[in-house]
Amino acid sequence: MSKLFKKAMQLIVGDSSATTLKMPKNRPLKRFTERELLQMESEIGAKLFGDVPAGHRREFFCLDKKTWIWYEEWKDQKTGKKMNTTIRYEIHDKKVLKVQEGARYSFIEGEELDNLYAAVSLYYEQVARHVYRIDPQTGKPLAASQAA
Amino acid sequence: MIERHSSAFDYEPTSSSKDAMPLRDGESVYTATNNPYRTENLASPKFDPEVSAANAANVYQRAEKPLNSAEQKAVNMEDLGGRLELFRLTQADLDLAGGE
Repeated sequence: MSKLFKKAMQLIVGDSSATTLKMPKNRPLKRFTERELLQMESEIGAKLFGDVPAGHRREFFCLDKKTWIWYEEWKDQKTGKKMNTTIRYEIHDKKVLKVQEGARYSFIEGEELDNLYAAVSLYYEQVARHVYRIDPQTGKPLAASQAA
Repeated sequence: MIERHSSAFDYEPTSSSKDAMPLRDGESVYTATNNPYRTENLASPKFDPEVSAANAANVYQRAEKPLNSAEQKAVNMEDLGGRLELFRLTQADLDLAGGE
C-alpha cells in the first residue's frame, strides 16, 4: 500500500475520533484542518451516487489533482464480518487508471469513464459551492461573484 | 514486318513543352523532359492564395480539433482535481467565514 494511500485512508477512515462534520449554516468563525475539509468533501462525494445502503459507509473524495478515492465499508449479513473495498482512480497521461485491491489495474473507458467523469464534475461543482464557497465557474468567492 | 508498339519513346512534344524547353545537342524531347539535372524539371513551388488559405485552414482545424473524448475527460478531471486541491490548501486552517 503506498504512503499516499495510507495517508488518505488515515485522514478519512483512520481513527475513532472521526466525527461527522456538518458545515455550520450561519458559518461562524471556525478554522478547519485539511483533514476536516477532506471529510466535508467526502460527505458530498458519498451522496453523488444515490443513497448509501443501510449499514454501509461510503467515501468518495479527491485526494489530490491526480488521485480520486472510493471507499465502501459494510458488514456481511451472513458472517457478520466487516467488509470493505477501496478503489483508487489515478489520472495518468490522458488516461484514468483504476487500482483495486489484489494488484488489479486497468485503464477505464466507456460507460465507467463517463460515470466517473460525471461524478467528478458534480463533486467539483458542489464542493466548490458548499465547502469552499467558491463559484465553480469563475473560481471567485461566491459572495463576490454574486454581487458582481 | 515488325509491329510498332507505342512506348514512351513515341512521345510527341506539345507546343508548350517545345517552347518551354529548347532541346540541347543530342537530346530528344523525351530525355530532356525526364532529365532530373535540368533545372527546368525541378519542381518549383507556386504560391496559390486559394490553396494556401485552404492549407492554413486545414492546419488550424487540426490544431483546434478536440482531443478524443476519453483523453479530454482525463485532462478535465486532472484540471478539476487541481482546482480542488488548491481550494483546500489555501483554505485549510483559515477562517472560512471570511472574517464575518
